[in-house]
Amino acid sequence: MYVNPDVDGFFRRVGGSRLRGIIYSNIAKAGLWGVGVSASRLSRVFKLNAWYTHRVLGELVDRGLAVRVKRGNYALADTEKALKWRDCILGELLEFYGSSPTAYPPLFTKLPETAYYVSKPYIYIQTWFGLPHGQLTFIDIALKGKPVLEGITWVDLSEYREATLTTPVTIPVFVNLRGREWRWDDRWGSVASEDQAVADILSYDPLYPIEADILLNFNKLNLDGIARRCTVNGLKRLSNTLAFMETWLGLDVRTRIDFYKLLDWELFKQQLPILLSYGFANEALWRLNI
Amino acid sequence: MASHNRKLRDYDLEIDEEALAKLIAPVDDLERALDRLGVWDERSRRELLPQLERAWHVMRVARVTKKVFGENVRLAGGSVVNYIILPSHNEMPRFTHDLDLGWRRPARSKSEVLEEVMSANARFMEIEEAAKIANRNLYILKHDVGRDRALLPFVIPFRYPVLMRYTGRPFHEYLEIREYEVIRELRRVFKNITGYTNILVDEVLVEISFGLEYPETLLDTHDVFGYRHNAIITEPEFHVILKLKPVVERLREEDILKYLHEYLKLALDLRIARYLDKRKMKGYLEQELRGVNLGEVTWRLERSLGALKEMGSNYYRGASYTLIRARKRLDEIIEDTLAIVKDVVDG
Repeated sequence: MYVNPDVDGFFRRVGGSRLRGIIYSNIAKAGLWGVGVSASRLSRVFKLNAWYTHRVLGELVDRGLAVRVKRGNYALADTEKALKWRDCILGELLEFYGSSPTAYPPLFTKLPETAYYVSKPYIYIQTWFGLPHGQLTFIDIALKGKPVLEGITWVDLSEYREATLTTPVTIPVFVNLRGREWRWDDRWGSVASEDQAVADILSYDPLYPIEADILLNFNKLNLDGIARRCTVNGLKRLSNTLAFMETWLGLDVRTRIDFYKLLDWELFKQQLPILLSYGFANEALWRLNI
Repeated sequence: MASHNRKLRDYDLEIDEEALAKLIAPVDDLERALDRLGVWDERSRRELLPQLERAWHVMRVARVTKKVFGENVRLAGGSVVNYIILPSHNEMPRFTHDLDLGWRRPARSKSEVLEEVMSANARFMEIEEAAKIANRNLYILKHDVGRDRALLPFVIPFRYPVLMRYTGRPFHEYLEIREYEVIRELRRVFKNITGYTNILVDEVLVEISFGLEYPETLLDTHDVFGYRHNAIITEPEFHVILKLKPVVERLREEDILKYLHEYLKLALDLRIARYLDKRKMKGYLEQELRGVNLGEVTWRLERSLGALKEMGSNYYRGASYTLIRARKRLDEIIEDTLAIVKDVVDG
């Protein structure tokens, strides 16, 4: 695992150790919105030792800084002492975010990493066409209706297709995070796993030509894993891409998905220009009369 | 998925054995074809089985594509002549390994046909004329992009992977399976169906041409395996002239050696001409060879087939011509061919 000394230093400064720093900052950020933090999710996202995580959270309860809301779920205590502690940690966090040249999403200063993640497939696989304008950010549905996006440039998912974007923006998607796969990365913040990121882009980002990345990396990608995490629309987009790869490009596609049964011809007509231009070299389309 | 990460549970091993059995050439069919062709010598029969198995698959593709594409395609090329028409006249076929199809609906670019082929692949899966084995689709048409570069802009080559007994790569090698449990399970399935544990995977070549308006006729007869074909085909009279055309049109002394094998295939396919309408053939000959004097046709053919007679006997010894060789010598075939063409030209 890549450990960024700046980030590691920050966590150690806040909590005395990396594990404690992570737990403290997450409890403090969750305290802003009155939501709890799941101990198991915390240990999974940050790859922490589960036993120690529970122990440190228990210590916070003993010190009167946190309360146990339900089994394995902890929230900031509603006491003056706890609020002061929270403000102190958030001050450190803001200072760190302002001074450190990291690629973290702006939500890093506001939300615990157990409540949101960003889908960035391009940090795992080769990509042909740079970065998407929109940063798909999946936020826990429990936070819907709360002003978590204040002060952040964001575009609603429904307006994203029509919006003319000049700078990268956040596209918030409020969903139930149960069953989704993401982790903390010192370089990128809270990011989706490879399968999850590709599935999210397929399902929610119609403008990002993820088909090109699948074409380039399909031997490396776990297509079944991606398919499991897709929505119905994402699955159709994936199936069209795989059928194109097998029939038009003659590639050997290995997957359990019966992609020919899931073909969507309307969608395929929209995808075809993209698939053709990425599947064949520029001149080949004319030379082969495709 | 990286192959080293795969586990047994990542494979879909629920195989419908009954459906799969229909996709593999039954030995009975091959034996019956040998009986029909009059091959009784046990050793020759064994040697011919691999060739016939491939021919069985070529004919199966012809039947299945008819089922899926309907009237949108016509059968064409050497496989129709050799596996359907010639055997029906008690002539021996030469073994040809690809299937040519003509796209009958108007199309200007390959993408129009490729879209239809993708839809056909979906249909193959739906009607269980295709199979999914160890997460890979077999018995579907896959565009052969590599070979496409060498072909004409109106011909699309396809690879059609099939399971075979006698030729091809071992199934686990072709399907890139490295997990022994999976190989063992598939071997069990193949043993149940065919009696062979180590089944092979090979590819049948299929070519679809489009944008060509050829005279057509309806064929309703049985192929060498006894399966009925009720399909539209390129008119055999026209097919023969199409084969003849490049030989008489572009004969150059320095190229004769290069095309010896093509001349042999031409001479063997021209055997069909004696069962066809000669007046119609002459009409097509005049229409297709506008720049060439008809008197020159016989002379040019004599020149090329003469070279074949002198230097091409090696090619005639090839495995594809075993059945014909048992009945006729090369010089007899050449003499017959010249006589037929003279007949046609003299009208």
